[in-house]
Amino acid sequence: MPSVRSLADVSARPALWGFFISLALLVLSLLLRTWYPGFLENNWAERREHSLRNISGEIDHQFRQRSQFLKAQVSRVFEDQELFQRIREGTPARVAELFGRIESLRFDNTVSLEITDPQGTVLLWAGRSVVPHYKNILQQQSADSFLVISRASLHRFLSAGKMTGDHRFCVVASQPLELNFPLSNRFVSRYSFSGELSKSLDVPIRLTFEDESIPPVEGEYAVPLKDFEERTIAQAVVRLQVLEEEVQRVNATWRGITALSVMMATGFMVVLLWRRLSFVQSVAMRVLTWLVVVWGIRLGWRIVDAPSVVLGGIVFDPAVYASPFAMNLTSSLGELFLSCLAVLGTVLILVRGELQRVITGEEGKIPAVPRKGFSLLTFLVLPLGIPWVIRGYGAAIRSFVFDSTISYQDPGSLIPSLATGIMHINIFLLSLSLLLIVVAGFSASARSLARLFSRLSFRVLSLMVLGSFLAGFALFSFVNRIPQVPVWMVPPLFVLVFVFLNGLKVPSGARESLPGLSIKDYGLLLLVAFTLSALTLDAKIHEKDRQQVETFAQELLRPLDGWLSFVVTEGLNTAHEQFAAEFGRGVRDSSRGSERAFNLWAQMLMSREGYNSGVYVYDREGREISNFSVGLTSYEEYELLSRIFDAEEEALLVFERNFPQGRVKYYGAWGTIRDSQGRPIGTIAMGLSASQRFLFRGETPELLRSAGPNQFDQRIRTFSVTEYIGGILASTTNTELARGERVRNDLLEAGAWSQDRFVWVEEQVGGIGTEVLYARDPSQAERIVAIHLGFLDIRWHVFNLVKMLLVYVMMAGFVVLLVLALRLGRRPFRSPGFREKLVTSFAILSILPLVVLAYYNRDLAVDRFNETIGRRLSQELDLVEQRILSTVLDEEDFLSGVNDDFCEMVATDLGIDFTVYGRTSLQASSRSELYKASILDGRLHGPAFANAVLLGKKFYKDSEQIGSVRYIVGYRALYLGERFLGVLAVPALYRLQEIDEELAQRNAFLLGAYAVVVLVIIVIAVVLANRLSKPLRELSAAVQRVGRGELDIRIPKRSSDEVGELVDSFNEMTGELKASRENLVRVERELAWKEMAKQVAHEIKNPLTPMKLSMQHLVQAYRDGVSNFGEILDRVVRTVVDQIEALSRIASEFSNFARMPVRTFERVDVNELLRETVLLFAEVRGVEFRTNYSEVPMPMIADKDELRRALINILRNSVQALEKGGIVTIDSSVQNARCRIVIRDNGPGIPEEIQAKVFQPNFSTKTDGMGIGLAITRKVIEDLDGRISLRSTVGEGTVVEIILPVSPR
Amino acid sequence: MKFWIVIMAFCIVAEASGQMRSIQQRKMKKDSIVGEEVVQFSPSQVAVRSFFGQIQHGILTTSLASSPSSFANQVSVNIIGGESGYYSSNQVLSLLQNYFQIRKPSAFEFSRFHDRGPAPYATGRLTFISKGSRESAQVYVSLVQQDSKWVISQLNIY
Repeated sequence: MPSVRSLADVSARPALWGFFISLALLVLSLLLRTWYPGFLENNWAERREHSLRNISGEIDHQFRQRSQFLKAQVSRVFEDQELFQRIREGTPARVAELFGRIESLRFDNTVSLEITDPQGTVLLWAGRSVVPHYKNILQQQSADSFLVISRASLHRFLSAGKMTGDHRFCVVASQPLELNFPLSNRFVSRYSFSGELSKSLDVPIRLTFEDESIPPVEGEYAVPLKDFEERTIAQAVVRLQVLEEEVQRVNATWRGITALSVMMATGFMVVLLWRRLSFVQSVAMRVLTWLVVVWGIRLGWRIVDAPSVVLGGIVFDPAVYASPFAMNLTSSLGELFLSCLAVLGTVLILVRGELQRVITGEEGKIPAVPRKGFSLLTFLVLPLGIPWVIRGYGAAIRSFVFDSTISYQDPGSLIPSLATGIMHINIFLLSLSLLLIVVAGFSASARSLARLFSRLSFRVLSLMVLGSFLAGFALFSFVNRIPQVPVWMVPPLFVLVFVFLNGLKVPSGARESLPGLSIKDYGLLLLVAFTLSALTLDAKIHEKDRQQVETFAQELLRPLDGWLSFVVTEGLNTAHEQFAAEFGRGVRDSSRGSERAFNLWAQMLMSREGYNSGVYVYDREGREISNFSVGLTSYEEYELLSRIFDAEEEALLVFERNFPQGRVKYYGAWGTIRDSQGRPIGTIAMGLSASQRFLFRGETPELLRSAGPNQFDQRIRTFSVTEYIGGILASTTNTELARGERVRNDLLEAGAWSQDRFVWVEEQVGGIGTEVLYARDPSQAERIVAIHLGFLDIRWHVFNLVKMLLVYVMMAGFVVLLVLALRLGRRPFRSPGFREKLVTSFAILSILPLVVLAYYNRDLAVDRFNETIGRRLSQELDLVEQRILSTVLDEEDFLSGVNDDFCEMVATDLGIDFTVYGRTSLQASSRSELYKASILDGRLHGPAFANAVLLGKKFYKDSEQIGSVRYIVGYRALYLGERFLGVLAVPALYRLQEIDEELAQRNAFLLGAYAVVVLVIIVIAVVLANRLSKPLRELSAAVQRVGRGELDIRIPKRSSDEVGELVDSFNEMTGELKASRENLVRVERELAWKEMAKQVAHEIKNPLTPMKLSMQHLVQAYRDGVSNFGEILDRVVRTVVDQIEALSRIASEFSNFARMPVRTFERVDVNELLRETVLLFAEVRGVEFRTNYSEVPMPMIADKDELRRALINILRNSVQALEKGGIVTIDSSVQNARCRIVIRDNGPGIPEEIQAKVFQPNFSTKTDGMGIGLAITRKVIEDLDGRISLRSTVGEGTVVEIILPVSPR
Repeated sequence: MKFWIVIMAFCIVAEASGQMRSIQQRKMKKDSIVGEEVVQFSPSQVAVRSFFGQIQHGILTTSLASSPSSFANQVSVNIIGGESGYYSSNQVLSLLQNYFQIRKPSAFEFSRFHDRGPAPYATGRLTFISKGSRESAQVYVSLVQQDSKWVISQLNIY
């Protein structure tokens, strides 16, 4: 029988080498960490020079790569000569086609392509508008091809251009180079060349341009960026590294190497220890060593920051999860994962023995703990200790939820994020640990009781334990008011553990020969662990939701005066600093005025916090240069500015306005901007509104809201805020509630708020169950705020559960792959049974079409969804069009009247945001701030121009993109009668959240439905597979029994199909087999007798010959009357007696071999029998016995004396082989429901040619033996359904392996 | 001549004594203001000021990053170029540890206090050494009462 290979079988040599190499690497890294800083300091100047050369070369290379890319893009356009021909033709229909054509010529969507005439007028375009921003530069170009860096609003573009041969057209390809660094990537993810250079070269780099030159200062170095003619067009300014920075960087690298070597060394150490520890006999020592190893590694890794210093990323980001618990062992998600693994490892090490004892106990019985006092202590301590462990588990899960920013219920995606997946695994590991502890605790308690009440069955004992555990938990809950896990969850957990343990003890057909855990047992354990994880997590998420609502309420009711005053004052300081810095750099460009306000606003705290706010910049004469505002109406801006300038300079202005919806408080200030000599050069004003109309902080468009509380996922839970003044509803965001409604009476009663400022109640609002937080304003007693949070819909529960299951499936898949990889090339797995194959086939056959259907259904749903959006956009375009056309009288009226204010007014009335383009360029928008902020392009999208203007389509929709955000825009050409006015655009951009909600709900619905279908399919597949495979399984079991010699077996025929015929054949076959066997036995018996007689005759003849000869010699001596007759007589008598004894021995050995004694079967502990047998040889001199007995009993039904004799035979052979002394090693273990005994000696070994004969009767290498000892041993072992095998190497020794079935009951 | 010298000496002495008196008066006035302020502080303000003092020391010595009891259950954090949002007190500690790991504070003092009401706040400028160069950031700290104890509910570093 092939032995099971484990880590213990792995040769130690490679692991030892690996360990030493890792240690050497560790020492080397530590030495280098000490030595290298000094070396670096001595050679710093030279190294910095070298590094700078490399950096300069790399910057030049990367810039040239970008310019060549654009040049290639231009060349690609030139390859399409037909394009220019069609432009020359110039018919609208022809040109409209070209917009699609030029789109397809772009290498990627970051490139902007524009074809202009020699004057710079753009004729055809794809992508963002660039050329119109530097038309004058284009006109000045004399060369046929050029490379320029231009500024288009807040962006810097790198453009490559080329004139056609006839100089009628110019093709310009542009790509963003920088977005107003350092504001780049702030609002929308954009490309930044300096950012990319900084990242790739790991040094701070900024770009400086001709029109905004910020020359290098001390400690900086400029690298020129050159055009095709090698003229400098910009500079990349590199901040020179200081020695300290480089030392830090290098130290970080060494830390990484140290961590890596520690990880490698500990890995090899585990392999080595695994091998060594399997020989340690003391269980306590083994457990203790493993515990020290597990936690030594865990702490060691933590100390050297392994593996976080090597890996990094979100897995080790404290912003995702962090807790300082236990010396920072849980300081990030990754660290937490390692700690959870260590906890599970610890639990497995500690409870393994306990589980094995309970699993291999006798039927209805359990091995009792050894001492009475100890048993009493265990029984008393565990029922009270386990609830504490459960509490600890709850507290840990609480930390997993509360100390993280992970969105466990993200409805936006079907696949959980990496962070969510890892956290689910952590929760599962901890839940499994808890479950194992409870099972082991339960079993230990039962064993304690078994010591006290030895006559009771396990079932009764475990019932008593269940009662004690429940009582213990009740007492614990009474004493400890914060049990940390839902109280209702614990009793069912105890009951499940009771059922699980009793299930192990209840005999069942499937488990008769399987004393370990069955697949079903594992399944039950995992299912309970999963349920435990899901329920606890759900409870904690709910708890956190409530805490967040309370925090939100606290924020709402917090007086904002101090904070908002600070925000405004700091805004002024930021403006002063910004202007001073610009003047310091010599920036005087007044044309940048229009962007200046946005630039300033973007850097201010008011924008970061997402307030409705505005910044206004004036020159020295008081003329407005620039303004930028978000969420403020024209009226609000007017009043704010009037009041600000009435106040003193730098003084904070605070005033309130009453609106029908409620009060609004405004904060503002103004200040003078001065140059470096202190001369006034302009004025700046700013203000913000702390709107209480909607009770939320600001209404900054989502794209501009870079920071701000995003505490609740409103896609899955309805959320609304209501304000009561004097008990009457004053304002609400809940459409189900009406103004004037009264607050709950109990909240107005005295004492309602005595305990806290918060009161939680459950209410039905509009037929939807909600939990409501009522919070009282501490500074305004009559003001109460109510926050309604809808209960989670059942669909979301299913959705979350399925997503969690998905993580578990992926985890299981990973574990299976890992096991497969570890066992690659070793013992093959048991191939799946017919039933498993049937289930898998059914499941695959059913699920595959479902997946295909789901895929197409998803596409269909997306198409339907897009159609719905398209219809909605078309309807909205209708409304806006009607409104505009009913307002304007003629073209002039349209041009002058349809401005930003008008659009904002119409948008407010209709609830639809929109943009109006003149012909190709922006005329007005209800969201002008997005254009001022350069987030949206002011030029009409090329395909939209082609379809709406050139082709005159009534409605055109297209998908557009800003950064990573995709959205749909509806376009329509506006006509007043026959006269073209412009193009109207309604983007779905402002409804991204609404769209997200719809998509999330669709996801939840589809996933829930599919999950139910898959579940039903699996259930049906299992039932069908069971039914179909039942006859075959019966047949297979019967064949196995026949194999064991039971030929009386008959299978009942259930059907007349092929299986029925098979059953008939089988029954016939067993009948024939029985008859054949009886014949065979008879023939064998005869043969055996013949053989025996021959053998007996042969053996008897051997001693008879010397006897005969001796007797003849004696007779002759007597006749001859020899003098020493007495001496001869003595010798002959001795010979005859010796030979008679030999005959007697031969007779008894044959008698033993041949006789069929009546065996006395009884329950035998093989382990114990082995121990006793080894003791018999303990006194043999020169032979050392090393034993490693199984920790668990090895019960089986056997004839004890017979088995003992068999073992004695083997041991005697081993001892006899060690004539010059040596070692005999005896190992016993239980594996796969079988006990395994391995007896090794380091004697001379048996030559290969005679190894096969050692178990044959009558074979012996010894002079005094009959050679039937090992033959008898084999017969005994095989009669017990066991196997015996022998391996031997000459010069090394012999190994005898015995496998016997364990009989637990 | 002697007369003039005496007159001049008198004037100098008088002026000097006047100056001294003025300095003393200003000092006394300042002391009295300080004294008045201290006297006028309510117990709550004293507690708030004392806590701000601890925070100031905690930021300067970076020990704030190891004091979980200083923070509310949920803290609004906004660190320029870094984290932004609501974090648990445990997470804030780790975020601050990370922040201070690459920035060694060299000077910090709260320059402005608002110590009344349910949401007192203080602001100050933090100077620190990062990658070998000196930089600075504005710090805003706001408090809230939680379980009858002042804790940090908002922390802005930008």
